[in-house]
Amino acid sequence: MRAGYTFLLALAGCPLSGLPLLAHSGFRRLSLPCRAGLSCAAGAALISGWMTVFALLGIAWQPAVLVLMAALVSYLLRLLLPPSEAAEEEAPARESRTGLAERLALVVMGVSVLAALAAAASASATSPDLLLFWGPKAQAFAAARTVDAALLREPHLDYMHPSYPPLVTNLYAFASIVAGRFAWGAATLVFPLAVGVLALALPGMLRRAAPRRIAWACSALVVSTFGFLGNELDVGGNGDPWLWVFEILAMATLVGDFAVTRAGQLLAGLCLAGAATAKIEGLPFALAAAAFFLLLRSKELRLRSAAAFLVLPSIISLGAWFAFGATRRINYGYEQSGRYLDLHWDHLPLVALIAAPRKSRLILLPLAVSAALAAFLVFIYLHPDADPGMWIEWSAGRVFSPITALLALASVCGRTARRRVAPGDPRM
Amino acid sequence: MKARSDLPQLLLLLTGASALTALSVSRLPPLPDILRPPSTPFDRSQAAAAAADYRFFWEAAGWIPRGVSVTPISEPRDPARETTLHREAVGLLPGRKILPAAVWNQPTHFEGQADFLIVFGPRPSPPPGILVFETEKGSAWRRVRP
Repeated sequence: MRAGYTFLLALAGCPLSGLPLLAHSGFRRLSLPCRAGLSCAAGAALISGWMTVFALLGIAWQPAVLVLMAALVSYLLRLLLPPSEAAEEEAPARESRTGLAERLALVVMGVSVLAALAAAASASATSPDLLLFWGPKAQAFAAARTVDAALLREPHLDYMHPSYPPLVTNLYAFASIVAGRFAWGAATLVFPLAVGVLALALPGMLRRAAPRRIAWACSALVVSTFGFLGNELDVGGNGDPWLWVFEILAMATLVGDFAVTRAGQLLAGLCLAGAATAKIEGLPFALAAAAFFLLLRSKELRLRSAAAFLVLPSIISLGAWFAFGATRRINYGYEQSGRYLDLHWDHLPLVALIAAPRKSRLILLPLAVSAALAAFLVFIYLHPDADPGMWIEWSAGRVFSPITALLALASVCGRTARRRVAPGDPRM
Repeated sequence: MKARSDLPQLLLLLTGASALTALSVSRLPPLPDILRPPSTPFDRSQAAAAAADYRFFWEAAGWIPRGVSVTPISEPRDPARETTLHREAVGLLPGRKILPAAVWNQPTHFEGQADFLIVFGPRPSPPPGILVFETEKGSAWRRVRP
C-alpha cells in the first residue's frame, strides 16, 4: 500500500519540473489551476526526455537528478520567451461573477473525475495491457535504472513492441524507482489523474479561444467524455490517458490566441513532444497538428520560429529514442511501420510537398481530398464483420496510390500568383 | 447585425457533458464494492480472468527465489494458455528468468531447462520435482537435476 502512495507521490516530480517554465510572466494570463495542469504535461515531457537522453548516454537514472535536470531546462526555456511578450500578457482580468454555466461545468467535471477515480480504484477500468506490456517493461527499466536493452532484444518478448515510444514506461519506471517497486494498482490511478489534469488546465486554455462560459462547458464535455470512455474501454494503467493529456492540451493551445505567442508555441511544442513519445499514434498527431497550424495561421506567425518551437522538442525526444534503438541495434524506427531509414520511392511526392517553397490555402484542396479518400478507404476496410487482413494486403497499395500523386499536386499549389481573367481574354 | 446567441451551443455542451457523466456514474460497481479494496487491479475489469492468475503468481513469488529460472505451465497442457501465462509471469515474477513453455501458441519445450515450474491446474503426474507450494489454483515445483 505504501509503495502505491509513494509511486503516485513520485509523479509529482512532473509538475515540479514544469513549474519554473509555467511561472514565467509569459503565462500569467492563464489561471493558476490552468498553469498547474500545464506544468504536469510540460514536466512529464521534460523528465521522460531526460530519461531517454540518459539511457542513450549510458547514465543510470537517479530520480532526484532527473527532476533537477528537467527543472533546469524548464527554467532555461524561459530565456527563449521575449520580455515584450510577457509585458503584453497581463494577469487575468477579474471577470464578472462566475455564472451558472461555469458552476454547472465545474460540478460535472468534479463528478467525472470522482467517477473515474472510483472506477480505477475499484479495479473496474484496468487495461489488460498493463499486465502484458506497460508494467513489465517499466518494472524492468526501473530494475536496470535505464532502458533495458536486453529485455527489448529478447526474441520471446517481441510482443512488447521493442520500438514503442518510451514516455509512459519511462515515467512508470521513474515512479517505481522512487517507490521501490512497480505499484500495479497505483498505475491504474493515472487514468483519473489524467482526467483531473485536463479538468484543471482546459477551462483556462480554452478561454483563449472562446467566451468564458463556452470554454467551461466545452471543457466539461471533454472531461466527461474521457471519464466515460476511460471506464468503458478499460484504459487504467495503459498509455492512452497520458496521450489524451498531451494531445488535448496541445490542440487547446493551438486553437486559441495564446498560440501566436512564443510561450504558447513552446508549450504546444512540449505537449506535442509528449504525445509523440507517449504512443505510436502520437507522432502522426504531432506532425499533422504542427503542419496544419503553420499552414492555417501563417499570417499571424513568424513561421520559422513557430515551426522550431513546435517541432524541435519532438525531434529531440523522439530522436534520442531512435538513436538509442539504433546504437543498441534494437530497432531503426517503429517495427509496425517498417524501417524508417529504408528508402520508399513512393515517399518522394511527400518530400516534394514539404520542400515546396511557397504554399497557398489552395493546398488544402488536394490535401483534404487525400484525407477524405483515406478516411473512406479505412471505413470500407473496417466496416465489414469479416477479417479484412487478406483484403488489405491484396488491395491497399493500389487503392491508396492516388494519394501519393495528390500530394505531388499539392506541392505546386501557390506557385503562381492568382490572376483575374477577363471574359474574352485569349488565355481563357 | 445582431450577434448569434451562444445559448444553443452552451446547452448542447452542458447537456452532453451531464449525460456522459451520468452514464459514467451508472456504470460504476455498487458502492460497497467501490469502498472495499480489490484483491488485484483486474478484479472487475474486462481482463477479470487475469485476476486469478495474478493472485496465484503473487503468492508463488514468495516461494520462488530471485535469480532462478521459472516456467509457468498449464495442466492439462495448452500452448495458448501457456503463452498467456508466460506473458503474465514476465510482469509478476520480477527478478526471475521466465522461460516460455509456449510462444505465440506454439510449444517451445523450454520447461525442461527451468529451475522451477509453476503449474496452473491439478498436480501433474508424475510429479515434476519437489513440491514447494500448493493452493487450489495450482502448485509450484523445484526441479531436481540428476
